[in-house]
Parts: sequence; structure tokens; C-alpha cells
Amino acid sequence: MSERKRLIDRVREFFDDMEKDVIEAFGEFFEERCSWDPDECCLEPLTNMIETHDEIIITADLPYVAKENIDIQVTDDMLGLKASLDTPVKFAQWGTVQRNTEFYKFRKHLKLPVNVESNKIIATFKNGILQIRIPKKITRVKIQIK
Amino acid sequence: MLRMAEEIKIVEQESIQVKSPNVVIGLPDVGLVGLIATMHMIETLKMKLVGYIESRLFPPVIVLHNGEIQSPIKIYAKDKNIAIVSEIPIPSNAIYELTDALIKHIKDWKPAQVILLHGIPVPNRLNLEEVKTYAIGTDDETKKIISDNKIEHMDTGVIVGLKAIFLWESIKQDIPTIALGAESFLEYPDPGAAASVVEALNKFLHLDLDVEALLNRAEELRVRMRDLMRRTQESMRGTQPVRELELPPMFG
Repeated sequence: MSERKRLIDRVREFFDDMEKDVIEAFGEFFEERCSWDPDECCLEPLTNMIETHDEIIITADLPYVAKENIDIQVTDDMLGLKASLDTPVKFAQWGTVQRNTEFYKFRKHLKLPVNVESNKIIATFKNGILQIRIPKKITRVKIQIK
Repeated sequence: MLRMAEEIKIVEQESIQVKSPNVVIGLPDVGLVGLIATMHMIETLKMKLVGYIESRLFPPVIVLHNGEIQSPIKIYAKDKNIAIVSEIPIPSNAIYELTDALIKHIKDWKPAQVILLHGIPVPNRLNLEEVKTYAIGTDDETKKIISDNKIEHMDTGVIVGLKAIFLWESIKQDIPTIALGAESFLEYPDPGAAASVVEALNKFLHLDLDVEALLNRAEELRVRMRDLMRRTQESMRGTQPVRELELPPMFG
């Protein structure tokens, strides 16, 4: 293999890696996706994520939902949210496939920006808004000054 | 009748001939408060669709209602009231042009008052059982209307988006305008905040819009408006609504 070809392959690999990183980091912004799934009969809730120095605060708007019907699952870096609706929602005059669909639940998965302390999470639910406070997993190292 | 201001067309399919109308504007912004409140007014008063606004600056979208093709930005009228609403967020690059076109068109109606309905983002909305409404008037007369109706004036702060430009142009062009806003979620549809705005609007326009009826539909509206809220948030990034939480840097 010539030196020139090796160089071209390395450049190509570099840009492929960069593209993967960009999609991973900003995928949610670029992705055009539908906020409902007729097969699973579920809607995607509106959510918001704020990161402070020691925690991640996630809120979700969950109308037609009771506290006991919310299921939150957290791994080191992923949060899964499911919630059943008290009343199935149907939009009889809306669109095509939607008009015949009854939606029974909300569902959303959120990628967390850092690893978290999953056993110290606090969730509250008030006026249909879910708030989840997730402490970050922080390793502190004291630096000696010479 | 067709008017043009740059690239925006405001079309009256039925000519509006009301003397000194009240003009209410509710466009998608913080918490969709203005839109929810204005739609409630349109539905309750059974206002008639009389016109629309179109532009190549807007996304290429039309909406279907009961099989009829419509522009997403519409003008309704009944008696002395005119309402302007949009079912799509206004792109930030169209704000100046749309404001110019609205000001030019509305000025010809010789309005008694223009009322811009909107949400005011507050970070602690989740903990507020009751939300406050605030108003801004562009002249002595509108400031007196605000005081007479015991609505709190917003004295110091930063205003962004179309309403900011509209207020500024209203002062320059002598159009009596009130911006009427309620504390709201920034990122979620907020029918509770819209209900507070409707209460104040009832006072300003001597209406009797049913606030309870709006609150009873709150959950339905929150489900239905998720997609518009998401689109509005994307669009609002251009106007930075969070700046309304900031302190103005200069003393007045």
C-alpha cells in the first residue's frame, strides 16, 4: 500500500470518527422524529434537562397521568421514562393513521450527559410535572501544590 | 383587500370595517400562553375567520381544518374584536417584516387598543400555585387602563421577540398597545398561565370569557400542543426568551 493511500485512509477514518462523535453529541438536535408511535400507542412527552455542577435536573410534562403510574428506570448514563395515561387520548379528526389510534402511555429515553449516582435520585410529581434530581457521580482528587 | 410590507401579505377575505376595534394578538411563544388564550377567546366568542397572513419567510406549511385548506396564520373578527393567531412559530428572521406588516395594517384599522398576549418565563413556575399577570402600556392612556384594572405594571426588565419590536413601533407610530403576560413555564404549554391572561383580558375588553372552561381543558391542551411547543422552542432559540429573566444593564 502506498504512503499516499495510507494517508487518505487515515484521513477518511478521522472524518468517520468525527461524524460519529457529532451524531452522538448532537443527534437529538438533528434528528427529525415523530412524537407518537401508533404501533406502541404511545406519545413522547415534552422534557427538559438542566445540568448543574453536581446534579442533572430533568422535568417532564405528563398530563392525564397519576403519580403511581409513572415508571422511571436509570442506568449509569441513561434514563427511561414510562407513564400510563388515566384516559386514552384519541384525536378523531387528526391526520391519517393517528385518527384511529388511541394513545395509552408516554414513553421517552434520555441519554444522561455523565454517569450518575442512581441510588440517590429524588423524583417528585406536582400538577402533572415530573421532576427528577439526579446527583452526578463525582470523583474528587485533591491536588498537591508543589 | 391585499396589503404588502416587504415579503409579508396580510389578506382580508372579508373586509374589516369595524370602527376602533380591539385587536388581540396571540402568537406561539413562551408556554404558548398567548396562543392558548387567544384561541379560547376565538372559540368562546365564535369569532369568524376573515383573513390570513402569508409569506415566503414562513415555513411551507398549510393546515387543514374540517377538510378546508387554511393558512396557519389567521385573522378572526366579531363585533368590535379582531384576533390574530398563528399555528406555527414565527421564524426569527421574519419577526421584523411581520411586525412592520402588522403595524402598517393594524394602523389603518384605527384600533382602540392592541393587546399582545404572551407568557413570561419564570424558573420557579412549578412551585407557583397562582401566577401573576403583568402589563406594559405604550402611552398614558394604556397605562391608565392597566392601572384602572389593577393589573401590575412591568416596570423594569427585558422584553424580546415580536412583542418587543411591536411595542417599540407602537410608540413610534402612536398605536395604543398593551403587552399582557402571565408567569409561565418556558418549555411546556401552560393553560394555567393562559387562564390568568384571559382573566385580565376580560377586564380590559369587558368580556366574560369562561376561565374555568379553559382550565378544564388544560390536560387536553397540554397533550395536543406538545409538537407546537417543541417547534416553538426550536424557533425561540433565535430570540432567546430566557433574556427576559435577565436584569437590564442600564438604569432608567
